[in-house]
Amino acid sequence: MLYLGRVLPYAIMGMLVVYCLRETDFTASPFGLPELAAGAVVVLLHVWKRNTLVSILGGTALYMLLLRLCAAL
Amino acid sequence: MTGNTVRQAFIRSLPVLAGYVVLGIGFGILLQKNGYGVLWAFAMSALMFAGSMQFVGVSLLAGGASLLTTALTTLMVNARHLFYGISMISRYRDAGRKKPYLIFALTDETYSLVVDGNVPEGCDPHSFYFFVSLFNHCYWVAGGVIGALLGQVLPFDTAGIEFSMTALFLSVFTEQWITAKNHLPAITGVAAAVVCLLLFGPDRFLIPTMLAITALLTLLRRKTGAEPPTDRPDGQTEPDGCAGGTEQEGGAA
Repeated sequence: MLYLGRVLPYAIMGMLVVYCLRETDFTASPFGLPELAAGAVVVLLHVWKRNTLVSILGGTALYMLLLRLCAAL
Repeated sequence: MTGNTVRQAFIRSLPVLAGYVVLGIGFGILLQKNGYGVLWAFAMSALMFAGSMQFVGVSLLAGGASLLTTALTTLMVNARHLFYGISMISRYRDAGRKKPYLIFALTDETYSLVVDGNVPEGCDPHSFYFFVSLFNHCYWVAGGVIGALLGQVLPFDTAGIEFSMTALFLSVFTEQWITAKNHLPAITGVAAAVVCLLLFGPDRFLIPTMLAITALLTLLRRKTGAEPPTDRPDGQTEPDGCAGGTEQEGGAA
């Protein structure tokens, strides 16, 4: 039980990321590119700054920007 | 002196203020966007006080998830709180009437502030923990309410704001990855989720995923290196130390 409590958080967080992207259609335009790009930015920002708020703000801002770009194209 | 304890608790809680208010605002906006108003934001933040799980809660509500799915998901997502409770057992033991609230308010952030057991001089420990918890709770509720209000009056189109939830989980996942010695549990989680998503579809894959994760992690116990330190120093004796097994190979998208 304690063992599960130790390892579950990692697995569950992975599951939650997939959960958030569950309805993203990677086979049709825009092919999930905004999600992938913004997601990459979140990861990179986090590796750089190790600050959750910064990572969230940066990634979300980029995502919102990309959505508008894709709609305009 | 209670006044001093309250002041000290406030000071201790300051690092969490910004985080909880901003995140709370994000939650409130997301909630409002899904058609749930300020009252919902207040009630959820006040009565659940569950941080990231509240974000997931918005999806569950909007998607009409069953009570069973909700209960199981909450259990799995918040399972790490099991440890917080265990860590604080001795410190919270004699807290009397404050104990239920202390237990309730033991979130990630509250835990990080109280875990070292460091209580400023002249403060009653239990009162101190109580007020730290209470301040955190207030910041969280305030953020949620402000967000829900903002969501109604924001002048710009908030399309895409729901990505804040993805970003939250991704950044926590990254942080966990950086600090973890063994990545097998994380990989298992992602792989199990992707496979179940493909098999069961977006509306039904959570429960199968959680069952799969529980089963896989139990089976892979030796290889995850999560045994307690008294058994072996680094949890690994196999020379390869890497994730073996066919469970993950089919899962990566």
